[in-house]
Amino acid sequence: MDTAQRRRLSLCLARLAQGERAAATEVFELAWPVVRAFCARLSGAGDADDLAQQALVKVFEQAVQFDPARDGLAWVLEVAAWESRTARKRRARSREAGGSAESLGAPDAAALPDQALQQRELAAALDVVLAQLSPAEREAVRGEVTAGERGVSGAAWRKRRERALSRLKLLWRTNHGLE
Amino acid sequence: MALSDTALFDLARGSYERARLQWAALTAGPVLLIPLASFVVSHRAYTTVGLGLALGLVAVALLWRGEGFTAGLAAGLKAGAVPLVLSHAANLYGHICTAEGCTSLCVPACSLGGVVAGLWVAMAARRSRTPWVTLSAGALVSCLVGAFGCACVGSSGLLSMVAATAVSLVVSRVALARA
Repeated sequence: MDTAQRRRLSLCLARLAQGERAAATEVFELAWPVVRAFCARLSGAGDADDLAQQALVKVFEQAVQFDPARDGLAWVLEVAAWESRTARKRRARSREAGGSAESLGAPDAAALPDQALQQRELAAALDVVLAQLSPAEREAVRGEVTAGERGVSGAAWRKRRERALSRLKLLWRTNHGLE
Repeated sequence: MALSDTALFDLARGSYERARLQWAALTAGPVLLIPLASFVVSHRAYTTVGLGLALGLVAVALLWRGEGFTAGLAAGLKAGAVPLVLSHAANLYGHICTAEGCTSLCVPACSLGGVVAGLWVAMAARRSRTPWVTLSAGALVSCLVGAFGCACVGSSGLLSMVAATAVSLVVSRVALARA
């Protein structure tokens, strides 16, 4: 999603929060591909579509409380990440309640997908925090370009990267309460 | 289960409408302080309950609908406070007695309150993107709020307030449109 689309999503979410139903179509068109891709990355397996649909419904459910001062994309991803966490807990609970016979046979086999899921959740949480950075900060954090490509000196690039990482850490602490 | 985009959009829209209605019902709660406070002053149970129910339902509907309707609710609540306070004050003050006899101040207070309320709503509607919607919603709410106090002398108090509000609205709209 480019900067213009991102701004458009924030604007449409703010309009939807005000009760302008006409903005719903645009919110759907802008948010659905993002939520689908995010959930596919998060859950990986075949239930990604179900998760994405649940997350999108949740986005619309909570749209009435959207704060126009916030970034729309970061907010949408936050809701999707939260929904995925809830779905995972729900699955774990149902496994504990009804799946004792299945789980008795292969306790170690179940641990690996859980670890993989945790990894994906961590990556998704990082995506949410990265979405709150400016495009220049994201570029510096990911290290996708070099100082030469950006046309700045090595020292300036290192400083920029350091600043972007500090902001990332701060946002991570704000969102998750730990380092 | 994978839904088509249209079905998913319908599901998300339905979820949005339900959440919005729930939010409207919760947000409209403080509006019920008006009938409560009015009952403490006037001790008219049936009128207060009837008008309170009407005001509560109208507030929920306007908040649920959003946009200009919500702006109208906010303007109407503020504007309606003028005839409400004036009529309650007149009611508490009692009568003015002259050589010809005694007369209640309620009707003049309601008329004056209606004029101010109409002007207030017209000014608020001028700032709205949907002026006619804000104007209608604001006039309805201001009359309902004012009615808690103007019912002190029966229908004459109510009618004088409604008529004064209507005249003031029309005059203000015409004057503001020409300005």
